[in-house]
Order: sequence, then C-alpha cells, then structure tokens
Amino acid sequence: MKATYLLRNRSRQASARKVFLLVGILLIGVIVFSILRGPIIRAVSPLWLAENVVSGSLGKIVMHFQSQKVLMEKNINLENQVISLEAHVALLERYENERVSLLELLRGKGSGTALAAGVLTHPPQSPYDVIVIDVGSNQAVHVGERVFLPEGALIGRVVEVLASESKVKLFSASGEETNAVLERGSFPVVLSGSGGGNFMVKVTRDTEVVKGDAILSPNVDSRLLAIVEEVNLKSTDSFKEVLARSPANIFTIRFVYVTP
Amino acid sequence: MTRRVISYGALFLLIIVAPYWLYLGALFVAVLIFPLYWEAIIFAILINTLYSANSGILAALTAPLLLVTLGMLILLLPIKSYLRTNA
Repeated sequence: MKATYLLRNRSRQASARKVFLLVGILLIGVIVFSILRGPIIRAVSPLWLAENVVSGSLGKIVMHFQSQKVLMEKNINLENQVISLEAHVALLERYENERVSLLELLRGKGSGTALAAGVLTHPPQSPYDVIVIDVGSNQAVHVGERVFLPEGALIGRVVEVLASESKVKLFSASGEETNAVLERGSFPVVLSGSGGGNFMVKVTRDTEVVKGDAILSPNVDSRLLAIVEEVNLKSTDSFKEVLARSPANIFTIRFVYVTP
Repeated sequence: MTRRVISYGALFLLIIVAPYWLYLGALFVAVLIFPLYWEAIIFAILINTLYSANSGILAALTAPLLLVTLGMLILLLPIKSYLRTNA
C-alpha cells in the first residue's frame, strides 16, 4: 500500500547499529572459531566418516536397480580395461623397481616410510582444493610433508596439523604456484593452480609440448604432478598457454600417503 | 522463528555432506529470505574453518566468503527496508 502521509526521516542510527552488530558478530565469530578450530574439526570428523560410509552404500543400492543389460555391458568393458591395465602395470613395475634401486643408490636406504591416510573430505564438498585426512600429530605428521596417491603421483602438501586430522592443500588449488619440470626436454616450468584439479603453465612459443606430456616434480624422485590436456597458442603470442590436469581425480580420492 | 531454526539444521547438514555449490547457494537463499540473517556469518566462518587451508585470525578475516556474506547482508539492509516501506 503506498503511503499518503509524510514519512518520518528514516533513522540512520538503526541501520548503522545493524552494520556494527554484523561486523561485531564477524569479529567475535572469527576469534572464537580460530580458538576452537581443532575441537570443531574433531567433532565433525565422525560425521564425515559416516557420510562416506552411507554414500558408498547408497551407490551400491542404486547399482542394484540398474538394468541387467546395462550392468553386463559395464562388466565386459571393465574386464577388457583390467586386462590392458594389468599388462601396463607389469611393465611399469619393472621400471619402478629399477627406479627405486637407483634412488637408494643416490640417497641411501632408510629414507623414511610413507604413512597411509584416509581422506575424510574432498572437493566438491570443499569449495577449495583442500582435503582433510585422518592422520595428525598423534601419527607424527608435520606441516610441509608431501602427500601422494597410492599410485605414486604427488598431489599436495600438509598445511595444517591437528591432533588426529590434517589439512592438505593440493597443488591445483587456485593461486598455488609449484616448481615443476616438463618431461619432454626437461624444461623448468611453474605450475599455477586453477582449482578443480587443473593447472595452467606458460611456456615460450618454441618449447615443444603436446597433449599427454607429463609434468614432473623437480627433485630427484621426479613424481608425476600433472598431465598436459591442451596447448593454446595464438599467432601473435610469444608464449604458449598449456592447460594441464592433476593425475588424480580429486573428487573421488579415498586414500593417500604422507611422507616427510 | 521455527523456519529459522529449521534452516540452521538444514544448512549445517548441507555443509557437512553436500557439495559446495549446494550449501553456498542455500546460504545465500537464506540470507535473501530471512530478515537480517546474521547466522549466515557464523555458517560462513564454519565453512572457512572446516574447509579452508588458511589458518589464523587475519587470514580468516580476509577470507572472500566471509567478506561476500557480510557485504551481502549489509547491502540487503537498505533494499529490504525500501521494499517494506513501499510495498
């Protein structure tokens, strides 16, 4: 209903009070949550574990209702994939044994064992490329330790350690920059995280790089960091824009290894 | 009041189990629907505490999610007041 009488001047003090209230809530909330960070994550961890169990069970129930024909086709495709991957793994195991022997010669034996950790939460639950794992200072985890997939690819570093949980920032986190080496030609590059398991690299126009090339860590053990997906080059540019993706599907990670 | 309380439980559950685009969307819808939904700041701080890698008070105060939520709440104050007066 439109007002037909003269309105009283709106009280600016009421609006200013509300703004101060909101800013006050923000400041107090940030301080309280910073102090209670550990207990909050510890309290929520069982809920994350329960959610992982329930979503796994629900997936199996959904599969139960899929038609038999669809399941049979999936089964045949997966069996064929397994056969080809088994052959590939056998070849890779041979190279892995050689690599381990060479590293032991270079660094000496007993360089530390990896600690297995379950992933409590991962993207897209987290809006950042950060995963929470179920090991912490109680299991001798420290800030800065490297985190790998079981297959060997390097995915991130531990950035925060609590008693029984730790937060791992993935190299693909937005704004994160990581030194790396392009496998083809051993060119040093800087991997810039774009979020969602994606990277961007800028190389000179003359640098040879094609889709499928591996980008490795610069240290002695040369772990896989990313795989080139696309190379963009405009005729007027002096740099190539290389888009790469993480070797891990960060939306379905379940287990990782942590090493010093 | 009951709906507001129900929104607390629903948002908390979504933050724990749902993808980020779902709980952030729900949070901003709650900010639009409810008058002066200051609880959105608490939920934004909770999301930051659980999922962000940046620890520390200063990092939390400059977190984009918190600033956007606060900005949205402050921006909606005069808009909602205008809508109420001229409806």
